Amino acid sequence: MNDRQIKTVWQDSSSQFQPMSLGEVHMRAAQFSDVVRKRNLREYIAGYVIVLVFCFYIWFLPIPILKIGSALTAAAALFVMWQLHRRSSKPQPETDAEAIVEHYRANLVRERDMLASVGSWYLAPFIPGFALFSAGKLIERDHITLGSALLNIGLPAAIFAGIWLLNKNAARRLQRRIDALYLQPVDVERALNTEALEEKEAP
Amino acid sequence: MPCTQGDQDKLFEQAMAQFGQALGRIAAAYEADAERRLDLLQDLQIALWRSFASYDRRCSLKTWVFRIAHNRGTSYILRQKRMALSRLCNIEDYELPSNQPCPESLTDLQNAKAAIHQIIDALHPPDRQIMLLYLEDLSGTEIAQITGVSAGAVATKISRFKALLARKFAFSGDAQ
Repeated sequence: MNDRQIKTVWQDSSSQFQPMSLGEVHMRAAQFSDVVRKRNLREYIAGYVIVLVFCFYIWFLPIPILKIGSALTAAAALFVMWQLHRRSSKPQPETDAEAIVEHYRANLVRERDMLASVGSWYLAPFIPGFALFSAGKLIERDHITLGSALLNIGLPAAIFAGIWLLNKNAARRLQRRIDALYLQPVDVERALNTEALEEKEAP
Repeated sequence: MPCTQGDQDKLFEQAMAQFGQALGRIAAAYEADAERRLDLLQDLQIALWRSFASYDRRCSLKTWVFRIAHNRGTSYILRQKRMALSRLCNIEDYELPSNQPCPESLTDLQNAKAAIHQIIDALHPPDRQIMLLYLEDLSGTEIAQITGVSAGAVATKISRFKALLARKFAFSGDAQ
């Protein structure tokens, strides 16, 4: 047996490929921008729902601290929507025809940057609003217990911190993968073994 | 010089005639599910047609088509299988499952295809692409040009792939 035979085995695989007609290609290519527009529209609708709910809270809730917390949360939702718009409307470079490893690296870098910056543009804007809102809910109670404090402040804080840490770790793993792309095979093995060990040790 | 839509159409038809079946196999190597594979295949064809608007003939049609197809495949993996990415490995780290009988015969075609897919599916995009281009019978130089990996590194990785196949099958791994 030789590699000619293994290639023949592979190329004899029936891919059941039926090319699209040119008319269909033209139509689908024109529809592509509509798909992106609809996806963005869904994100904006979700954002506006949050803004409307918290604007209703401003009017409905009884104490000022809850009203201010609601206003800050609605403002944070608007800020995050603006960030989403700004980031998704940046023109993407025509990268499909670049060398495969460069394309892979560019994808990983984009993903790493997005994960690494989640804390600053996605989580941080919501912290003041949620902090005031949680504090207001505590103040509303007759008796503040340790349990209610943990539930109203500790739990949201832990969720925020957990999301931030998960994203930071994912960004670090991507950075190691990016670094490994330009190393010699023996170094790649060492870098990836380090990564596997760290994943095993992670809780 | 940018292509007109007529040029795009001609290049697309030429690419489909020459590399259509290879595109089908590439899509199968990125997505096992038949329905999702069909979507990926349509996405590949639309991306290819759109890309011809900027095709400047500085590289061959073959290089262009394989770059577009594999780059789309990479984006697909990163988008659809983000969680599975940490389970993928480089060819240097791949080990055949120890519970499989070895060596097997290439005369059992289904078995041979399944074994090749098993290795390919476990690889990170750059190594997966090198092996797929090797299986499509591209030369080391062509693979290096398409991937951007040095010819020496390509040869080392293909050699490792052949060694795995040799352990799996009664396979000599002769020169290309």
